[in-house]
Amino acid sequence: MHAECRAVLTYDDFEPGRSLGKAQFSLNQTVLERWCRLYPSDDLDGVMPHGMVAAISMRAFFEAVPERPPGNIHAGQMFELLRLPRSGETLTTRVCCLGKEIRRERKRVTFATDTTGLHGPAFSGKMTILWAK
Amino acid sequence: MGEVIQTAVTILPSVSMTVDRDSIMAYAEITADYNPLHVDDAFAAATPFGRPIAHGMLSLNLIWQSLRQAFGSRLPISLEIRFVRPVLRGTRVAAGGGRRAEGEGYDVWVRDESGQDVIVGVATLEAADRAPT
Repeated sequence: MHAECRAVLTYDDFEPGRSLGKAQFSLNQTVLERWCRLYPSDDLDGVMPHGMVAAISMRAFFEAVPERPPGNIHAGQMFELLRLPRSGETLTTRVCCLGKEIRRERKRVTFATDTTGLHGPAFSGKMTILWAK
Repeated sequence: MGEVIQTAVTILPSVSMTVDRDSIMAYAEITADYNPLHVDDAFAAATPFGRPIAHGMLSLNLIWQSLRQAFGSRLPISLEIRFVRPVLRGTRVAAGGGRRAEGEGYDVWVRDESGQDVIVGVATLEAADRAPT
């Protein structure tokens, strides 16, 4: 199904504990060079800079949950960085819904991401998003 | 959380950047995050922010850079943060941190040019033999 045919997910659609899928990311020289154009001091000679955990996790989340309403706000984030993958490694990130709650009339949904590669677990994260719908 | 490592570092280095349109668009491309709050002037003008705000993770990378300057490639690192204030396009932000007065690890932050916190959190270094989650 094409993304444009899908209905936007609402807060009510999320089920805590449910897997939302996985996404692959190829950590290669092109990706690292693109990153270093934005952050020149992050050139670590083929090693993933620490901050790319965010980009890879977010890409996986967007791929797993493409039907997002406009206006979502990223409220909080936790990362556990276990190792720094090198260029050439393919990383797989699994995404699931951890929980949801309405606090002060705002709909908060928390997602978990777990990223592994050829050499084992690399990093994990939890992100809380204020869901707009 | 695993065993927390104590280090001699008391103050984390300051790292700064200006979050302009080019950097926002570059981050959008890297993460595939084209939320109109970040990239659409007309959409953003109709929000309480009045103009585009940067991806929170764009500024978060400054904390990762500060941690790397302080601790090199020492891992694992756990980083938990909250996005407490939006970063409007064109803002200069700076990250830093220091050993926590109470508790383990380091308070970390990103502040805007008026000194207000935009990201706050805690980073901890953990024992290297910690089992991956």
